[in-house]
Amino acid sequence: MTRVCIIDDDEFFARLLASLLSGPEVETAVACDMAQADSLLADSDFDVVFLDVRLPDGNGLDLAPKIKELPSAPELIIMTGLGDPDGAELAIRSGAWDYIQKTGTPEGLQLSFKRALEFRRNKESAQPVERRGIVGQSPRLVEVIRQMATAARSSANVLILGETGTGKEGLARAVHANSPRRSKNYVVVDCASLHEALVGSDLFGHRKGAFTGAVSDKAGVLQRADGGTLFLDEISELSLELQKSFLRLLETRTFRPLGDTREVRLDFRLVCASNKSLADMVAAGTFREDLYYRIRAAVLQLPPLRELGDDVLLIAAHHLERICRDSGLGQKTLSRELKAFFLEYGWPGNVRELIHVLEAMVASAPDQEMLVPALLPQELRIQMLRARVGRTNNPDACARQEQTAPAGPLGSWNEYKKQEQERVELAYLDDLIRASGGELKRALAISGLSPSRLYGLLSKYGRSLGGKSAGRSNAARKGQDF
Amino acid sequence: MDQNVMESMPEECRGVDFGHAVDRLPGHLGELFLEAGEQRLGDLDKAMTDGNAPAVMDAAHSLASLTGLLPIRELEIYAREIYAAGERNELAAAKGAHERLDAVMGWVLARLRAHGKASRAS
Repeated sequence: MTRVCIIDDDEFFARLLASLLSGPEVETAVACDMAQADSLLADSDFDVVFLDVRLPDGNGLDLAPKIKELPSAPELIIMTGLGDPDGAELAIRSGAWDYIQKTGTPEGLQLSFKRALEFRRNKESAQPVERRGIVGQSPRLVEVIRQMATAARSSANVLILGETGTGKEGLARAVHANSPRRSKNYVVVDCASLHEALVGSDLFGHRKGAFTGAVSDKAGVLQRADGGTLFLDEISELSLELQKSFLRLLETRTFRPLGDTREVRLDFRLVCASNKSLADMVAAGTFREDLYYRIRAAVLQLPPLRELGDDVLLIAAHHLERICRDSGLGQKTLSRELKAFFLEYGWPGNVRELIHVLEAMVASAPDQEMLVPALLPQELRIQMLRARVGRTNNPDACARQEQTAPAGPLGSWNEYKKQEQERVELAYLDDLIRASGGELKRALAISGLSPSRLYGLLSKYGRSLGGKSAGRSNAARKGQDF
Repeated sequence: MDQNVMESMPEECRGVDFGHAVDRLPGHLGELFLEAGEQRLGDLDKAMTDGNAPAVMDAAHSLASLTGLLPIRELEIYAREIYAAGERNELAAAKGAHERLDAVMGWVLARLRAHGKASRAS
């Protein structure tokens, strides 16, 4: 949404300009004097400001330096009328993007606006974005990152929505890291764990003697966010009573510590996150409508992992590298079959679930260079086998998929050979277990393998001969009973 | 355009595609344009009669911002002349420009009013 501020006391011209600029993605606000403009600019962020030189309570140009220093750094377009000095000179002196003559044609006014917007978009896309560990190149994720960067540079309250585990807190950190407040504190409040009885003191602080046990003055969590960013995680969990307190804080930007008679002023950017639909909660009467509108100046919707396509592999590789590094282990890769499974699986727990799966796999095979499906937690293996059975029952679909959807980019010959060898070994092992009925002697006879070689393979892939002869695998010993 | 309208048309408006100018005025602003135009024209007349130079400048300035919508170049020129005369406190020098601006703007507003009625009737 593009937000435009028109500062002009000429009601007709302001409304004309607003009409000319309006569209589904453009929102306009009008201030008719400098005092109104001051308050409008302090309350909201704008992309473009049209500023009339002649205002009833002063020279509009006096506002120019303030407008240029706003957090959202809007593009400034000076409007000149009869008797005003040369517009070009005024524009240069005030650092404006452009100037328009109020006697100009509607097309001229629109053109100036379009050029300013184009310039702004180019400027924004040229600025490096701090992703803070958000990995992915899919168009949907890239769009969220773009929206995040735009919102971060403004002072707008940001609401992050998304299923559980999609990385809402990571995105909140990215908002802070890309904002002008990045050098100040980033304070997280987990609304789900706020205890009603303690919340007043914890959040707002208290004065000595405010209650039994208040032996000294104590600053609240909120005060640490002064100048920085306050992140309210799972805001849907706030009680109606606390919603009221936060609404007041947002409206007045002041609060009173327990036992204090003075109001404390706070300057912070608010970021909230929720995995529930706040709109539905408003409709159900469990979330305050006024608070809902206060916190959603910019809304970022994080897509679920299952909708990010190949990003799953990039995210998996990123976290695998981190897990191995943190555990002091050598780097590992994902086998081709595991990659295929990662792409197919629905990931109901999203990135959080993916990380847990990777951690479990690394823990169960710390020395293995390549992670294979056999290392997956049991419930995921069952899903994978079911999927495989489905494909076997429908060989055409299987063949089509293998032809059209290679699992990841082609690697080196040795890597490819190793993956294929593991795939064949595993398939053979499964067939062997089935054919031998789980009897060691029959398995050895059919396969011609030595007992040590067979045990080695069973252990490598977390297989057993039905508990009859082969003993328990490494994975099973770690509680992952395949 | 009927014969009466053609005959009363100020010279400055001849050859101007007035229908196009009206069409590109955002619909809901037609009434406001009429209202603002009539009021500002009235303000200018009064300021000229009173000999109030600052008020003449204000009225000319606000009238000028309406003229961008009308493809009648002379309107802006007249507004500038009146403004400049007010600045010099020589309102008598603006008499001719004021008369022409009155005539042209008055005709335009009458046409716009008639156009509005015609639109509502159709």
